[in-house]
Amino acid sequence: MHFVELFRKHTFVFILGLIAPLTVFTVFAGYPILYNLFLSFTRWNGLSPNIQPVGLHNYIELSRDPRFILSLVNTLKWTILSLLISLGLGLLLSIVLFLGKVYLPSLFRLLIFVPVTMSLVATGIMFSLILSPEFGLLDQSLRLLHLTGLSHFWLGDYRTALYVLIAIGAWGYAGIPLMLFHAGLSEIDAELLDAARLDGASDFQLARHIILPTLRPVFVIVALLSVIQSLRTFDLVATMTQGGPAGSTKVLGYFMYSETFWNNRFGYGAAISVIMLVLSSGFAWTYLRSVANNALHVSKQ
Amino acid sequence: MIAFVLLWSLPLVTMVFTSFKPDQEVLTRPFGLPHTWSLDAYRYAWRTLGYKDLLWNSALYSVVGTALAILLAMVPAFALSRFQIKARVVIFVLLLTPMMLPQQTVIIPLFNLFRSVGLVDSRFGLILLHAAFGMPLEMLVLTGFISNIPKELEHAARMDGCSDAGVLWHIVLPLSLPAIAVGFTLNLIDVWKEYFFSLIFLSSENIMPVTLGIIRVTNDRYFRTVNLPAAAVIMAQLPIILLFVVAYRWITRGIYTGSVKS
Repeated sequence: MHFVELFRKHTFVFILGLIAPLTVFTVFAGYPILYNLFLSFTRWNGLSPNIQPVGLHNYIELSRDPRFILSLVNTLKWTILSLLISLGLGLLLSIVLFLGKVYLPSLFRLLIFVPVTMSLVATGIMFSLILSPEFGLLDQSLRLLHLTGLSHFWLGDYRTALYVLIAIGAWGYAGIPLMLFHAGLSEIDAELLDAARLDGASDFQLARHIILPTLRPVFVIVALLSVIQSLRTFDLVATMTQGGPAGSTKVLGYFMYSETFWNNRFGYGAAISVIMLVLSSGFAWTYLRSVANNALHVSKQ
Repeated sequence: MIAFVLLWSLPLVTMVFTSFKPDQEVLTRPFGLPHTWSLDAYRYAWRTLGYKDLLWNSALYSVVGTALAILLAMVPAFALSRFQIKARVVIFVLLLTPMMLPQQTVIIPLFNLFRSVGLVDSRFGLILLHAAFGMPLEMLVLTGFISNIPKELEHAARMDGCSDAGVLWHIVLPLSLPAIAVGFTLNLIDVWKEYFFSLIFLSSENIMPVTLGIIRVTNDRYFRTVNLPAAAVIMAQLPIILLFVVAYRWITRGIYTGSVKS
């Protein structure tokens, strides 16, 4: 249906269903993305009317800024590790649940899902308490088990801090992949599985030949979501380490924030966020096209 | 599996226990049930962090923001699922992008824009942001759901002379109530968890949501005690966890439908 026809015959739908949301999109996403791109070619302190064009200067500076390189590497580490954990954990737990090896499976899923509803600020504070070196529960339990040798200031050591944050992030996120995989598994025909079992197929064979192929579309969705979430990480870092110690937990999302709003380098911050957008746009577009096709019942080629 | 159960439940359970223990007991007996149950940490946190305001603000932002998002999303969802509009997949994807956009890429221009119209550090400004960025999720949930409503009902209504608005109001809206409930709950949780926008846009203490309020316990002043931050975290999350436990079934179904399959 053409827009003119829609406008003539269905004015109400045309205005509230098409023009209104496109306006919202333009104001809150379209215009900001473009203006942000423009700002990335300028120097600006965020307040003065003087926005100074500097060409590619910000990007050239980024390519030489060791803090940016570190943030980028940390972000990539975060993204890859989180991806592996969410796929691995989600698959493992959902298949074990599916094969009926757990008591009270729905309670189990509920438990893993509870942290998903918690804000990362709350999760961060909770784990800061647990990991705190003086009174933290982790250290106290190690002492109780006479394993004081393992006792460690996890968040204060630049070698471990990033991985601790990634693990906490995964703890808070695992409910999503588990739930998606679980829902995907519920579409498997139970009779098919029973038949395969009667034919003497092992659990491993069932997983390999029936379960995994069914889960392929879910697999893609889980992976895309996990990558997109990781690339924009901010809350946990802001709550627990503020990028420290020694910049070891600096990620792009946090680096952008501190450069922009603490150092008042709005042009430089804009350039960092443009890089973030470029990194995530392919994943985001693929994900959104897939969910949009689903919701509209457009069959995929 | 037992390891997983412990890994997920121990942090939560110990935090609950810790919050009820008097300060000295946390250090002497970190594990197990509190010896003496004490509400001191809760009382103290409630007073010093101003929980009444924090919870009220969070509730306001999440309920009003989400309601606005649903209002904005209803007609577009109807339009895109019911009318064979040209390029509707592309339009739909475009409208959904704010959902997946790194917030950092829009924050500077939005901050600038809001400052120029006086919406920085304002309740209304933050609600507008939550409405605009909640709209895509609501559109997704509603569009998927409305696509599944049989068209015959609609045809019958049109025969009786119903307009587009009439069909939406009398047929589609009542049938979509379950999807609205799912979309409402999902976005409510999202807004309750949200931190970045609130951090950038708000500075007055009296309009802060709970995420901004509780981060103050990470000051050394508070972190010298353990029960207080624990109580603070629990009070911040309790309303939403209760809601979640009640709505668990719809939510999980809703996320799956929204992302993988209709």
